[in-house]
Amino acid sequence: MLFFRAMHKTATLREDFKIHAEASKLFEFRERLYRICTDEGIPPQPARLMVLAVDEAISNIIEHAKLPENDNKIGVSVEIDEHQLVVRISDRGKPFDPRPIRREPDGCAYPRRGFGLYLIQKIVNQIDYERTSDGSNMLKLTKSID
Amino acid sequence: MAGLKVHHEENRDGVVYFELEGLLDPHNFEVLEALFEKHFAAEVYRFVIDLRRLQYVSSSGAGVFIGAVGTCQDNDGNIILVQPSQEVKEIFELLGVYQIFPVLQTKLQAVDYFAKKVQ
Repeated sequence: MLFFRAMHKTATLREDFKIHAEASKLFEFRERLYRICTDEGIPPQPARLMVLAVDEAISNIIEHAKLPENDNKIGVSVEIDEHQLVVRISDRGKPFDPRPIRREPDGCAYPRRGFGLYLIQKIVNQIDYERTSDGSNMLKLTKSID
Repeated sequence: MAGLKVHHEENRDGVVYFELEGLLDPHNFEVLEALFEKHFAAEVYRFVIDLRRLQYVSSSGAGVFIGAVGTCQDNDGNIILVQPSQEVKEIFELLGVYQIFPVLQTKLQAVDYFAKKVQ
């Protein structure tokens, strides 16, 4: 994979966009992110998994962040170089640090919800979170593609 | 257009079969939830679900299966997943879903599974 990218693309790709905080828009977003990844030479499986991780993070924002009505878009920044795929997700909702939470599905208790963060943590190599001085959440998901 | 479709829903000898096609995500997981609730209300707890044409499952979608299987198993039933697509298989593996559900390759195997339980 690294060899493939090194042969074909050497510069870092960076793409920034905003999406509406609506579950009905997630399909288009997933398609777009997958296309960006695979166009950059990332194989389908890691691309699919990263799309899933980002989809889960954005779904959590839509469901729990209580975004202000006048500022309810979610910012997404994708950065790909030879070694890693980084997706930064920003929103203006209430603070939420996803890093300490991890719940594995429990075959005895059968809870219905709450697996999204577990999936994110299984898929990516690093999760960084920052509450910025202007009152935004900034979540950074990093997946190695070496 | 992307979405979730339920095909070939039928109840045969107390076992409900259906096939899912498309994408199961936060936008439409309640469709599947309502389907299970409808059958639970009729006291049906045995399901065979064909996943060959399901291309995507988010955690909210997997949560519907995981939530429903408890009710099924508490009532001497189960949910058998048949032939999940590669994409869905990857997600279920990450979630450890295979420890909870029987996953079989054909509908016939699923029929046998419940037939043996009756014997």
